[in-house]
Amino acid sequence: MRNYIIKRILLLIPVIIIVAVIAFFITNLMPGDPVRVILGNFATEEQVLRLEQELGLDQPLIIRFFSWLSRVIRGDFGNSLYLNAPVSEVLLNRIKPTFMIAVTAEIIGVSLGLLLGITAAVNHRKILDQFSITISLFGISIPSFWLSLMLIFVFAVQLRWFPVSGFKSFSEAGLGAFRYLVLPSFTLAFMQAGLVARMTRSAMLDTLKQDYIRTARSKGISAKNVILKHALKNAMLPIITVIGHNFAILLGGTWIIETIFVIPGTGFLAINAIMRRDIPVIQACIIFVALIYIVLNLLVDISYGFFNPKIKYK
Amino acid sequence: MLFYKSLIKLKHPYIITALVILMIIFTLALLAPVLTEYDPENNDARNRLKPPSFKHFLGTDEFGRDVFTRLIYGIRASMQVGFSVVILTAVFGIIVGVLAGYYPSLDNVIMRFLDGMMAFPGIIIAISLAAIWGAGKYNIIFALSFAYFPKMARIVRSAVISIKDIEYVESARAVGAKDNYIIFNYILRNCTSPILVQATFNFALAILDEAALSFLGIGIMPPTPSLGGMITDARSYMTVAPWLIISPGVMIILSVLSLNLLGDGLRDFLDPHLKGSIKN
Repeated sequence: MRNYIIKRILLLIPVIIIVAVIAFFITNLMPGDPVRVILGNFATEEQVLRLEQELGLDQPLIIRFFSWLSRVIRGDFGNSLYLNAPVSEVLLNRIKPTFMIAVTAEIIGVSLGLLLGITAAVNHRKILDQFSITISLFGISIPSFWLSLMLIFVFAVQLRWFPVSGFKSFSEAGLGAFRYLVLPSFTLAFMQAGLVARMTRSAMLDTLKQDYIRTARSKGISAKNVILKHALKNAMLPIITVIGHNFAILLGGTWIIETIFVIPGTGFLAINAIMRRDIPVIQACIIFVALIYIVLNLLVDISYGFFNPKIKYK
Repeated sequence: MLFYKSLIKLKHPYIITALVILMIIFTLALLAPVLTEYDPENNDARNRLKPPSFKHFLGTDEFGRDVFTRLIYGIRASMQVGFSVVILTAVFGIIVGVLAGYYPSLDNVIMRFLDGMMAFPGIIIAISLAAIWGAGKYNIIFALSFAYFPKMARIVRSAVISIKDIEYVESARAVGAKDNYIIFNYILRNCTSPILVQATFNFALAILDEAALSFLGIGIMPPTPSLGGMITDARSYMTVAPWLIISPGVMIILSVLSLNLLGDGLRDFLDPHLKGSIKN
């Protein structure tokens, strides 16, 4: 087991390097000269050259990449071109809102998805199955930005149950902070629920056909126990794989949802940075998302052993 | 042709419904210039924010433009983007997937590269690339294709690996068939089902993501109509003119939903082993 984990972590190194390469080159190919943007239209040639030297922008791209990489490995993403602060500090300040929304959305999405998926599989080809399929299809087909605007219109503008936008942490607003979380989290959760429900349904249908389920039933184990203990646990493998992969989609979704709800998280930061060509911030935001995806999928891989002891880590 | 015949014979209600809705949307998109007497970009100050009526089937927007006209031109653009993305991802995905699957020496390098790319959510790659290349229809086509092709490549790769050691491929190799011949005639022909299914889902995803990019202002730029852009504009008039935001959203949902349904149906139909989410 330990050897497997070590090997799995070592295999991540090339992936992380590729992630760094992509993050660096995507951002450095962006049009617009950040130096000219910072200095404005009336800068002299001399000032431009001096700032280029200060920022290291006069070096060839490949040399800049390696010096950038060596700094990034030490956690130094440089300074934001606009916020006058180290990028790592800016990013750390913004993680909390994103984390709260993403985790709330994940919890709602996965619970709802499991519920829908299991209901569908247990009532295979009955009305409840059709109902669950329809809901989960809508989940993956509704554009999240449109759904969030609709929810804002109904629940914030008309009914005034929730605030239209913004974010409060628990230390600021106590339990009232939940009111700010509901709409953005639900928007993100709806899509997750759709994805999880579809996978749960087909994985459960597969497992429910197995001989050991029939055996369990014929032994007289209650339907609830057969479904939850025998079937669900065995169907969990593909389901948690989907959950691991889809968390990335969720984080990608926060870029748009945070912009709509004006939530001061990493997604809002990223979109603003892209609009302002704040390259160090964009790089940090992109790498942040990719690293979370990588770590989460490592955890998913390791958890396979728990759900299926037949998998021996070699 | 056999394929279409058996598809009809199947009488699968979901596939048929999805196909009918898609046909209607395709027709609207294709015949957009004929179907409407209005110009999608022409302002008409006297008819601002008019609710739906006989003259303006879905009302008018803040510049007095006919919403129905903009809607069908918008879905036309979405369809163009979706279709181009499907073609490009299929081409790149097949090339890279076959290289990785057929030549073990390339597999490791290609797979690590794809792993790295797949660590980024597609929409994030697309947003970043669209920001680099600038807004515009062609740029987002390339951005989305770049974002989606790794998944297609992985699907092609695993299909190729599962086929390349089957006896008929071995016997082709034994009689001296060249690699190219084997790849095109023996392997790719047997990978069409997973490619087709993934292509359908990519189409749906491309429409969603194009709308998201246009909504953020880095996709198709106004005044050119796009569904995402219409939603951005409609946001400010949500309370006074709700019809503006409803129709583009419903159009996106209808097209994405029916493409997803079609993908599910095709998966069940083409590959009985893969248990899809509709029919089992």
